[in-house]
Amino acid sequence: MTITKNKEGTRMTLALEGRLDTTTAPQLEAEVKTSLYDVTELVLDLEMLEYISSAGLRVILAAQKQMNKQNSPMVVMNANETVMEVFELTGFTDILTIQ
Amino acid sequence: MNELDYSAAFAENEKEANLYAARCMRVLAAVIAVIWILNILGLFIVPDVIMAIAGAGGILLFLLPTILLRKMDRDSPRMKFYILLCCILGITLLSAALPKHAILAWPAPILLGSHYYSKRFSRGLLVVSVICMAISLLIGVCWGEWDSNLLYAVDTSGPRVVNFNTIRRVVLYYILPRSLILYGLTTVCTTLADRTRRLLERQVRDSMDKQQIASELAVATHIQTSMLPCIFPAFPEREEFDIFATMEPAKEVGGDFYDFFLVDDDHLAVVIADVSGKGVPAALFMVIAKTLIKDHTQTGAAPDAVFAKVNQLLCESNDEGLFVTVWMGVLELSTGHLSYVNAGHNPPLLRQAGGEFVFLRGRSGFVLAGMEGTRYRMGTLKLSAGDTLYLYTDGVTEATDTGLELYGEERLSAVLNAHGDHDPEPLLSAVKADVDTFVGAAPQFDDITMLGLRYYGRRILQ
Repeated sequence: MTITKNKEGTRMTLALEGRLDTTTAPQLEAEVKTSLYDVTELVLDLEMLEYISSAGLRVILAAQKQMNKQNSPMVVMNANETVMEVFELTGFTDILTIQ
Repeated sequence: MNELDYSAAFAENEKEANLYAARCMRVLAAVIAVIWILNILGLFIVPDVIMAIAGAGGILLFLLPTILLRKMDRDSPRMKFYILLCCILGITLLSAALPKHAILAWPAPILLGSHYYSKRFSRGLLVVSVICMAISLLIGVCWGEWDSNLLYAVDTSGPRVVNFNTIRRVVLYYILPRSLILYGLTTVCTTLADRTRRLLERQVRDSMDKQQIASELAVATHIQTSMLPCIFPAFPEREEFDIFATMEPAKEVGGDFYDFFLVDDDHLAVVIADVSGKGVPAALFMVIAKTLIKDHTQTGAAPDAVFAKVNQLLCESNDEGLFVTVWMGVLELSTGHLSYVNAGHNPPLLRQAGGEFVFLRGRSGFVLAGMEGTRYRMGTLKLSAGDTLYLYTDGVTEATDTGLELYGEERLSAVLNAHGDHDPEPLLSAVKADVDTFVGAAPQFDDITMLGLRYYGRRILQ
């Protein structure tokens, strides 16, 4: 999986490409742990994300919780049908801001 | 660390080293044979008698270890002494007959000795080699092929004269410096032997650690499997339903679980769940989640209230940010009334007697342990005699073939419908077989868990 990080001021966009599963989730987790502290708006661009497993959901949930703690918005964008289905199935649609 | 454990590894190494030494010495024997033939053909000019003694003796001594390994107890700890002694004696003979060239062979025993990873053994070989080299060179000066390299030590212009002065100079200019060089070489070899010895010791330690982890994991696997009800038929005395379930972890321990139990005489609870992630953390979380769900369900509380409470408890101590998707249904056996809650889990399939399996879709609630304060909506259904409920985790629908294609919901409902009238056990076997065929040689990524429940209702109750 490739993560493309784009930061303009305190607005950060993470574009994910490939498969977010047990093997690749730690990559995103490291990114979330280290670079969210000064972000006031986080955008996850999932346009190129093909697949997400429960390990991937866990990291997205962690990011959402971190942003909640910082009182800052997090937006999930451009999720494809497969990924969107997973969000719906797991009830993530209730807690994420999906555009 | 137990000394005995190392000694087993070193004994194993010694046996290997013996075989390698014997193999190297067979090559040396072949080299001597070639030299002998070239001498017979007149390419070399060693006197025939000397060549015959050196050739025959050398070949015999170099082949002796191979014979010893076949004929004697090859695991004997003395074997290495016999083998290296043969090597030194063989070179001694060569060196006595042909001192000029055989001198190059003296490092061989010391190099072979470094395979045994023992400083003492290498040093012992050095001492024996130096003594044998001195003897062989003195014999060589008296009877061997005249060595013209000894220009300063002996007079090679006239007939051979060996007196005290010759011996003194041979020792001083010839034996001493070569012994020193052998000593230097031995230092290189003992350093190598020492380092390799430490590497081998570390390898033994690592593999013991690994073994311990593996055996602990095996125990963990056993504990986890024995936590799931696994004796079938599970309720032989109950004729209102038939139930069967399987869990196959992708790793030693998994995050999936199923559960079923009687809440009271008239209520059966069925649970299927999948903890995010895999391995030990997921397994530990699974144990907590399973216990909490069962404990709270057995109070007789409604499934939605159970989930709200369990979610709260799981959120309280969840630094790792794990979560679990759960589907639970409580069936009233006398009426077929089923109340169920879904916390982010894959929708089960229901087959009404004589019909097709259909997904029980409907808006799912958020996963357990995801967010504090989550509320769960309860759905209700009425099962009739002959209805079958099939629960599964995403290990089934996301089983992946070598081309990274997912098994998917369509294949799942197709295979279920193909075996629609089966009892739970053969039904689950049919699904498993179909998934296995689809996956082929691709590795199993996720735990595969399924539960089948068939309701017979009051039909047999009477």
